[in-house]
Amino acid sequence: MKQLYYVIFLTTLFFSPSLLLANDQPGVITGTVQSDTGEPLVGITALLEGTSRGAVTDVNGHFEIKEVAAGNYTLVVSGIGYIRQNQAITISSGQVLSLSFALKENTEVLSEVVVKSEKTAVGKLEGSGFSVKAVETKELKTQSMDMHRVLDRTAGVRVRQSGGMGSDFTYSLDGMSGNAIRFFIDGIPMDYFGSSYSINNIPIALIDRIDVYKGVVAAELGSDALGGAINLVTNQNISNFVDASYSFGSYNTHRAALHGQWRLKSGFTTKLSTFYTYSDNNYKVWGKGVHYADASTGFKAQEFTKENPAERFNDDFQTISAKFDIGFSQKKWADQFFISLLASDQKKGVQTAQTMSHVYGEMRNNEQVLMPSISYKKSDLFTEGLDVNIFAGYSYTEGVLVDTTTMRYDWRGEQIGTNPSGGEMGRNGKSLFTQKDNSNIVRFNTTYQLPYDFTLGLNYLYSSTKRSGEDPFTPVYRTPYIEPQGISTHFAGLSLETIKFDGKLHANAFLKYYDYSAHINDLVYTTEWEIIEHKNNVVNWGGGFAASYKLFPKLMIKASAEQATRMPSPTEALGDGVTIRNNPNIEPEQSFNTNIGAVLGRYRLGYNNGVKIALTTFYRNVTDQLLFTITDGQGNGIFENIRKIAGTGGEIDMIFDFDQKLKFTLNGTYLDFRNNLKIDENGRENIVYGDRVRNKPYFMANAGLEYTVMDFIQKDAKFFTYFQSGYVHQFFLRWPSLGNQDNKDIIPTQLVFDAGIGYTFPSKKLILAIDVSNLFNEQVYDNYLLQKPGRAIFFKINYQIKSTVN
Amino acid sequence: MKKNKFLNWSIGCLLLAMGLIFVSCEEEGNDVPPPPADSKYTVGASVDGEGYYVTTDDLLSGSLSIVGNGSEGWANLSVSVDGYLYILNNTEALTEKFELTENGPVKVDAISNSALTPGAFFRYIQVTDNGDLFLSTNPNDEGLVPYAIIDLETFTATSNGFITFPTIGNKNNLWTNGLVQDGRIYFGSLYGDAATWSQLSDSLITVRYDYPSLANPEILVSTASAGMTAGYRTNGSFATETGDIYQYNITSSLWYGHDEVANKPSVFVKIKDGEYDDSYVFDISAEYNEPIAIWNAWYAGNNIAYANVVRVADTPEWGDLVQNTGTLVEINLETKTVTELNLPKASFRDIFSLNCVEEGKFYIPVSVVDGDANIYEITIGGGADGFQKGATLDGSNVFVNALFRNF
Repeated sequence: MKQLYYVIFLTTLFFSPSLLLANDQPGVITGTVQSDTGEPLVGITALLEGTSRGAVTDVNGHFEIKEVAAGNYTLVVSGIGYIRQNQAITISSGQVLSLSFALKENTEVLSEVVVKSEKTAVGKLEGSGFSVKAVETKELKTQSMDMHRVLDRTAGVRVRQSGGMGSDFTYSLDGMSGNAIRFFIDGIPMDYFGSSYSINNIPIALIDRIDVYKGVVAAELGSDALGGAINLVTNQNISNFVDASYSFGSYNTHRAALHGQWRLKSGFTTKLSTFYTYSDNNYKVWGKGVHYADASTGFKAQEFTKENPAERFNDDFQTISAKFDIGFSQKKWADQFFISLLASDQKKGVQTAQTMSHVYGEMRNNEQVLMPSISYKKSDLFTEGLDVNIFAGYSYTEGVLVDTTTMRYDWRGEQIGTNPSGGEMGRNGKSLFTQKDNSNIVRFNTTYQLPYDFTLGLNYLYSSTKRSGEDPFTPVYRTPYIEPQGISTHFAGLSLETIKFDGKLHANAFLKYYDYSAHINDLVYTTEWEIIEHKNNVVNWGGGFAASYKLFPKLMIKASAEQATRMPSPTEALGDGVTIRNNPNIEPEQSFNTNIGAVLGRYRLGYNNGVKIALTTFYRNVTDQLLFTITDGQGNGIFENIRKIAGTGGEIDMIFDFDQKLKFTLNGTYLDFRNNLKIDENGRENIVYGDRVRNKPYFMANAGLEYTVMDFIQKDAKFFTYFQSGYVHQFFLRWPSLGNQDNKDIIPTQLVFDAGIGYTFPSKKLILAIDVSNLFNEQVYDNYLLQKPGRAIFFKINYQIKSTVN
Repeated sequence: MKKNKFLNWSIGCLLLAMGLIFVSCEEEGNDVPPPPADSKYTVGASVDGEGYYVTTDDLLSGSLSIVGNGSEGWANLSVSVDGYLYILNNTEALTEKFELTENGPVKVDAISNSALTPGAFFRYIQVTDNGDLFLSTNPNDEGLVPYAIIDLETFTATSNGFITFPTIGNKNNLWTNGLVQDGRIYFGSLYGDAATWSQLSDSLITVRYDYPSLANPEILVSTASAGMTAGYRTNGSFATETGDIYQYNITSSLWYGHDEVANKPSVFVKIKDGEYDDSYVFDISAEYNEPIAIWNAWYAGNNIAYANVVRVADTPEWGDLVQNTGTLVEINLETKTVTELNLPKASFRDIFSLNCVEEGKFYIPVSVVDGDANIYEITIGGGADGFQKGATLDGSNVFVNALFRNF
């Protein structure tokens, strides 16, 4: 909480001089320019006609014209690829005039398509030296696909889910996976937002763009993202709007989202983002691991088959989340200043253990999160070129695992007996484990425009978590967190960025500092039970660079490298109190990552067709990798630092567009990650040296067709359809070289097709869509013996009301 | 000519028929078919937290490699009977039956452990002298022990449920493992306070039931020492050729136990005719000039047992038994002598299944932590140097957790 007070104090200090200087000054015109779909436009010119005063929009679509004398003007807003707008304005002495513009695309100027794309934030980001893919959600908002499925289509990205809606998931970016991947929302780490407000659940409707950094991560995303980062960029426009969407479909799945913004001319702004998701997740499962037995057959295991499958019966998922922001926007003293409150509630059934062989009929997992926060954002603070972005928050998370039944179930959903001591999960009896996390997070981010086109960036992030837990059914000697335990981390990043040679060269060099401290207790028996305290502190430095250069107008080469560190997460260090033990001696994971790539295109093919190809190769060398090690037959375990992993890989991403109606995308990723420890610390030979890393997919590909018809049935209406396929080659669960190759356990090859159609009505307010996932009802697995859902159909309706504030 | 032809044909048929009969008789007489190649022994191993097992005909020479060889899965909780391997697969909640073939073990049947017991977890599996498998695990918080009995002939579970153990004063059974012998099952046990795992019983306790009815519990008490008589990974009780049962205890200042019992001696005691034979106590601790404890012991025949003896002074910290601190000792239960073998010190704690005795030899894996893993052939009663180093396992990642004869 100290950090929160500190930031409030600092923020107040920032405001004071601005408020005092608010009188008897020339006027200021600030504004935001977006596309007609709400996407911020960068590089758009705003010019007071007949004067030399003007400005160009930044990456957020924001511009500011200072020192404007009182009077009447015509403001001209224009950019290549867009229809220009003129607006008559009147500004009085000392007035801060806030405006917003929505530019329509000029589809008649076909040759400017590429130039136009470079004017967007996406174009700017992908023009940097980082290996980054920006996924625009404009078209996706007409679909009812969840975020996982959308990102899974992206080159180099693999999402592994343990089941249906709300199930556990891990992301892999160019071979780096698990907690090595960090998630952000508008640059703020999402670790403390709770399970409900995670990438798993946030509706696409709330997101404008998804930035996927692979391997090398910009310092401005201030965290220890060792393998990559995914940053969700929310709608930054200043329009007043209300957007509501609702979809329903298979497995009694309902998803509703409502978000909106109301801004007064005074700049007073309120925002609300809320969503609700529910699913029974009662999809069919069969095959290995899905069996039942009874006395009539001497308890011989009877496997369910595709013709006679079992249905999941304790896998329901429900989450509701609301985020309310109140504050000011587009004021002289702040571009944005908000006090926010996030509250979420999640409830779900727990159907299985780590494989489907263990079935639970009543176990529940619930979580509530309350997170107040404060944020402040200002461009040109005190002096031109100094941009500041501050965030501070406190998070309280309470999770409860309910495992108190005395009943036992099988895959028929039937009660097959009782367990007198209760509990389905283990042999230790009932459990009602409540875990409480108290976390603080403070982020300070600033950039300053130096002479000669250099930009200096500084990013600082502090986070801490204190974890405690209690279980009324657990004896003293098995109580986790008999006293609160905690970790805290400091991260600082310093970057220097420049764009040279008429925009041909983009270069970014950065330095990162990591500080990890842990305070962990173990309950140890000697002649009596006693608490042993462990304290651990590790400091690391890292750094790297990213550069791109346009050799030719349509050929850009990219290179980036980073020595990165990842600090243990609260669960890795402190355990989860149930199946994961704490590890007082855990060390940060480190990796050296490089990317080299090239982007060709967009090349025109004929009158109105084109192709764009991106190629990337990468190398990763990981030491002290943090991996979960199972320590008993029931899947319990501990996170440990293990050995060395190194690997190379490559990805290709191709987009063909035809007449701006038909788009064909194709991407593929191949990984060659190997155990890189030849001789262990005792001088002994490692028998799996050189083995491909176990339980990791290494070849995946996606292909998709999208077709758009404008003026379909009605003028200005749009019809959109797609057909998407995803392929993942089979991979071994265990080390490939060990055991007879003919009977090894594998995660089988999967080839899944999705399809859908959407219709946008002429007013653009109403969108209707139908989506089908896993079209051919394939039996698919991302993890060993954890079957994913089969075919599912979803219907979606989206309605948006939008207006602008002048 | 016709007659001769008929005679010759008849004689030929007779000889052919007799030949067939003789051949048939020879086949009937040899009713134990030769075992499939490379299937005589099973070796289970743990590699980086994963389980593998291989079968082999040779424990003495060359290398036993799991690289490109053997099967995935844990075989540490398994037994071998009449050409079949029975494995507790706790990952998939099954008791699996494998036929040993020339192509290695082939799964032929499975019983659902999740239907048999809560959590689908069994810690122990044993072949009984009753022609069945007895599966069990430790008592739950209520003091109930989940169990199952599987008939080997039909491979069906004939009985399952919970065994309710008697309390002794305010003490419950905390850890137990049974040995079936002559229609009874003897559960070596540890009694104490379940809430704290302290206030352990100051005597040795075994609970005896009728088998397979699991009725008529009787508490057997020996005051020879204190601690756990269930054994650790392997059974703390074993029967000799005469039907007598010998039993050792685990008690140590480096394991659970308050001051009053922690330093009581490590002993072997005898159960005879269903009761503790108080006239027999073999105090192993008395053979040493320093505190020791036994973790695992295996019977090799002719009143000879081998035990893993750990010196308290060698143990780096409480409960840490996975260092190279174990010593293998030969114990003559009849003459009450102890001989420490000059084998490399290793961790013998996690050998879950060890049943490999043949022609006067006892075979045991010696997995030196961060060192070599080898099978050793011990000459039973052969003294401190009565052994030879056998087959070598793969590098430092490998820890052998099971070794037994199939044929």
